[in-house]
Amino acid sequence: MELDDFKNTAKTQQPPETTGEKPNSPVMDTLIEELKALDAKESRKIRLFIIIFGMFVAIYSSTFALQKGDMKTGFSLIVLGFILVLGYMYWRYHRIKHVDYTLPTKVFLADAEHRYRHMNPADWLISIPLLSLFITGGSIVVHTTFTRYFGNSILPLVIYLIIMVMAVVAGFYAGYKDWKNDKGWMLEKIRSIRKEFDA
Amino acid sequence: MNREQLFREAIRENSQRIFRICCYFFSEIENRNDAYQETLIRLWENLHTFKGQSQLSTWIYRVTLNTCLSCIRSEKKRNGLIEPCGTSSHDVADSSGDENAWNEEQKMVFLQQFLMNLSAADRTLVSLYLEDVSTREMAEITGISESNVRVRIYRIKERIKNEWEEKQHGT
Repeated sequence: MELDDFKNTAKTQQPPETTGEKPNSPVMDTLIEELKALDAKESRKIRLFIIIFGMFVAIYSSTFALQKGDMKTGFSLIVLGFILVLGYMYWRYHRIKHVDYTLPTKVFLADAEHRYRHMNPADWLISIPLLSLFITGGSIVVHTTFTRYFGNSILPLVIYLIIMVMAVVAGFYAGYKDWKNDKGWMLEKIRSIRKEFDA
Repeated sequence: MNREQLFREAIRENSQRIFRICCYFFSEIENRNDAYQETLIRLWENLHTFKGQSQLSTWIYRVTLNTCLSCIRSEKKRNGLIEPCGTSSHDVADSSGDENAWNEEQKMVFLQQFLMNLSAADRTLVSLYLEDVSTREMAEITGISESNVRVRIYRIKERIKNEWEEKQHGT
């Protein structure tokens, strides 16, 4: 028995409830309605995201506008940080949601491997300036606020920096653990499939 | 042709082909149906990228195979039974009187068992081969070189021949 002898056998397989035999069948109409509903749901998600984004920017911008001197500089850096965080989150969401399934399989797998990594160069590139903005902005706000109680002592600033560093390390660790449980095994599987294609 | 018309046309001409590819990738009915539904969604979402530069079938094969490979990543093991597509164990029992039909069922079960033991890459190539896709088009769809496709297909042909003979001698 040759592989070619299985061709006819394989072609006897039928979809359980065919969707496409008649392009204007009720089943097809229902399917298209469901797909349009998915599109609408996606648009709603994006609209909601833009609203939340707008609210954050409005709240922080107004707080920033009320400040003076060094406080204003500190808050401006924090506002800029929040704007970047939201822009970055939107970019990540877009990248995951809009996967190009029409790529040649090998390219698609390489792309998937890149997508499922814990941190890509682009993630590092955005994370470092982001943290710098929050730490610098926060340090200015903390220092300015506590000067009236502690004079020129750097103790509040040191405590703030320790808390920030601990929060960043804990956040990174939690993110890594979450990724390992959720996506780490998928990355391993993608890598093994890629190896099979490259063999 | 608008998106909806193009989708209707694409499904009308290719729904069975899409489903068969899902069958080549998944032994369990629920996984196949999930992959089939997922492929229809991906086709709808990616339809705007079809510019007519390649054949519609080539484009559909890419979306279907990439979706199946994505589903393999998160495949759930259910009852472990291998059932031929479009039939059920009940149908198999009913067809036992009809020797031809029974032989076809057995061939299908053997083919699916064989496919499940192949690597994802080889399963992809066999899926396209069984659909009469040319070597050049297989290379275009998968990104594997034409010569590598030919070598792999040759090895798979040898393997299926040997395994079928072993099965026949074993029974």
